[in-house]
Amino acid sequence: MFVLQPSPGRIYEMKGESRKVKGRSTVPHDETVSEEPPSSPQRYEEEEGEGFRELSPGEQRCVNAKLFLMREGSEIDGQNLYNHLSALLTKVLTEKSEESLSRLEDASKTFKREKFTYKEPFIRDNPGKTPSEVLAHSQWQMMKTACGDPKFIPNECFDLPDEDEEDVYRLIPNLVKQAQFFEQAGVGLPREEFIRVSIAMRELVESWPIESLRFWGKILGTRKNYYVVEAEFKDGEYESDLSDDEGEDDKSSNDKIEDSMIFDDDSTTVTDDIKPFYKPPPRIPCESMGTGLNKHVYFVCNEPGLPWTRLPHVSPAQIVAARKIRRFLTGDLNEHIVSHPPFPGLEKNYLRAQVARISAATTVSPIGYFRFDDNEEEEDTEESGSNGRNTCIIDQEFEGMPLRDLCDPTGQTWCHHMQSVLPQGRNTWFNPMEGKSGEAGDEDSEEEERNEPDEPEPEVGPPLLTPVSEDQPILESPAWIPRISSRLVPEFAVAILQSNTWPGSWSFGADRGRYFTSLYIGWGQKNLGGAFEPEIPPDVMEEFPSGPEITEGDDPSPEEESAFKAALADKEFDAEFGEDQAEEETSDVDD
Amino acid sequence: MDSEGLHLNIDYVGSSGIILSPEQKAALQTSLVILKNSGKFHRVYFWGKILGVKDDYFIAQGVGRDEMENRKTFYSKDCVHWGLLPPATKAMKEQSKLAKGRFTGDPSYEFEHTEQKKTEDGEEAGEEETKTKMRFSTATGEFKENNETTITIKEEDRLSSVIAEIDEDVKIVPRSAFIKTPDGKVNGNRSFEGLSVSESAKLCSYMHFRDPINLEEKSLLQKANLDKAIDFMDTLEEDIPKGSWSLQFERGSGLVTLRSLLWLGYVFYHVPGSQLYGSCYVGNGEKNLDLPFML
Repeated sequence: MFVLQPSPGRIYEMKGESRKVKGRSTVPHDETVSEEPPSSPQRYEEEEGEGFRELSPGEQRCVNAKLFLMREGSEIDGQNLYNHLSALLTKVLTEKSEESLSRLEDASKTFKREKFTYKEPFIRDNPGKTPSEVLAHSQWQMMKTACGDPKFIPNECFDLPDEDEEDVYRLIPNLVKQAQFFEQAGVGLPREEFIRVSIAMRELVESWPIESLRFWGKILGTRKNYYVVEAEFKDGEYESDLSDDEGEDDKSSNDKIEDSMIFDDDSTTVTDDIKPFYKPPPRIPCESMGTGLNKHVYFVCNEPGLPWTRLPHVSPAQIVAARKIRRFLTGDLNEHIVSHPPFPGLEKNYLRAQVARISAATTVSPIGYFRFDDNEEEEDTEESGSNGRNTCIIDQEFEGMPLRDLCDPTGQTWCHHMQSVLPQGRNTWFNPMEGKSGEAGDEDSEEEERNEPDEPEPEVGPPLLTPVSEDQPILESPAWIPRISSRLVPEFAVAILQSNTWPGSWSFGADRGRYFTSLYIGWGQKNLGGAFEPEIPPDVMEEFPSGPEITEGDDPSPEEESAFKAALADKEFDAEFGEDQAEEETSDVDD
Repeated sequence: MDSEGLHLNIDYVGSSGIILSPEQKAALQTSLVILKNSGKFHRVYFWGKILGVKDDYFIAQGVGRDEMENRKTFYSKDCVHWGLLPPATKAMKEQSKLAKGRFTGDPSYEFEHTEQKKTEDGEEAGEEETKTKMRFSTATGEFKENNETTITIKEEDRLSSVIAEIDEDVKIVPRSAFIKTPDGKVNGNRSFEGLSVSESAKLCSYMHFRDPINLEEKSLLQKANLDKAIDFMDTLEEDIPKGSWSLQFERGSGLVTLRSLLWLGYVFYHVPGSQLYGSCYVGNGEKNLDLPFML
């Protein structure tokens, strides 16, 4: 067994050998030891020059022992026995104190403690994705897919309709140009948001069969906001999206039927006079898909970069209810709307109804840009009835009008090019009587219409392409406020039209009125001009009228009831007894 | 919003629809500097815009060292020429509530409010009419033959009252952005580092920048945890109705925006973790009295 003896010579030998074996450099070297044989450097050089040579068994054992000491300890990293012992011995030799032995353990413990190295822990900090990161990630995805080859310069002729039918991206409107004009007028959103919306629109054109697209605007909500995009589908692509609404309507109508059925089932006990007079108002159906209020399809998202959601079609009942309530939007599409009168739907329906109302009221264009199509056949005008024409086309020969006309404060130079919403909740009048007797044939229904005394009057809205000056003013202020966008540089200004009925709706007209668009940024509320008056709950149903057939009476008290029963029992007893007596008499007679 | 760096900071409120056109920014940059010098103000704030029918009013406020006192309000129609607005007295505020309809854009316009007094015979009181006439006379109450009182309200006075009311109702600052010195002066806190993200999500980290109303009524127990130098204003948590503030995070958590639902158009922004904050009002100048129905 090899024993390390505390003799200077040995130590020097060890040191020499350590050099030969090329041990660790952490071994404290000669400098720490005060005494040193002068010959040792020479010896090192000699031995190094010789290179490796075969070791004798004694030397081999020595080397093995040393390597064992150098083996890294398992608990303490970076520490091995050899280093520890060398450090300890160095300390002892430098101090040269008399109490080295008694203080040996303390010194050893001190070394161990002080040598503790902090190793990188296995558990790392994971702060998780902050919301900024999540949003930035989704927006970056969007931008990454949109980012094309920088060398690719697209065909600039986006205006020519015949070019490149395959390229759907030409449908995306030039939001950058619109942003610039809106900024010039001091309204709208920062330009970066326009860019983000523009990139997000690409996802829409890729997945839906879209004919035209427009950035409708932004509706602010209490918790989140909505970015709304208006789209028109290609002909024949309108799927029925009423499936959700129809299910709900059927359910509610089923409930109503059940309510009335209750009375029918109990008809044995309940006479006809006590049936309630209430009849639910006739349900007015939507216009056919792709026309009227549902001509445009709207997509919303909370932030550009997040996926788009398609808003369901709007029904007249929802429009009528939306007119009667006044609510902020929360930003969550599936939120319930608790209100009076009850709104038939969730927040997405309410949002759609408000969007429909705003679009119908504030989509304007300079007069002359659109015109009626004179080539329309006569039948079409008859079918549309008293509403007049409901489509218009772009006038190719529109020459534009000077800026001064566009900024005319009376608003005679701008007109609506979207049909207004009737009080019924549709664009075209629907006669509820028609629906009931529809199966009987059209001629019969027409006759019945004329005969019915309580036939509702057909509702007529203002015809298409009426100037905005004809709109109803709010209190004393006009409904529309046209203005020039700049004072300091009026030569290159644009005309900006602000809506008073729906505050937040802006339209601008540039390039002599040939380039225009509208935008809505606001809370989605109408300017009522005064306080909001909620609908009063309907009158309570009256009691049944007291008449000769039915009267109300008090319930008999227990005493009266028992007295009555007793009297009844007596009568029966008397009757029986009377018969018996009669039988007995007769029997007596027989006898 | 501080006038220094206005053209940069206005981007923070852009997502609420508040933007300034480049020419407005250019004009404001120069004219607000001149305003600051001529009025010897410590700071000038761009308060916002009040939209009128014919024209919009741009509003700026200049303050001295003590931010709560001696606020002077200026208005302009073109961002170049500024005029001083008279300070709003209580009487003016009462009267301006009677004026209905939007601001016209002409400061000398007079709103007329006619009230018909009921006579003892029970004659029909008639409806309260608001007539508008162009009159360049001082605001006086005139007595007409059939017991009518006509009050005229000048648009300037109405403007001043509306601005004072908005400041009183909804002007907010983050907590610990201002410090009250022992002698009662309110100064900006130089070591304000901004609210953290979690703090900025709570309504109690924002305070109304006005003399406190609810603070005195708090119990001693509640006041024990407050710091007198920082918590000398009402927090937003005590606002009635609950939910009259819409707190939203833009850019993930990089910007927090508070919008008031009582005065639609008031926007406050703050970048968590930094000293940046500010507020702006762009709107009609009409209080949203239907708020309880709308929540």
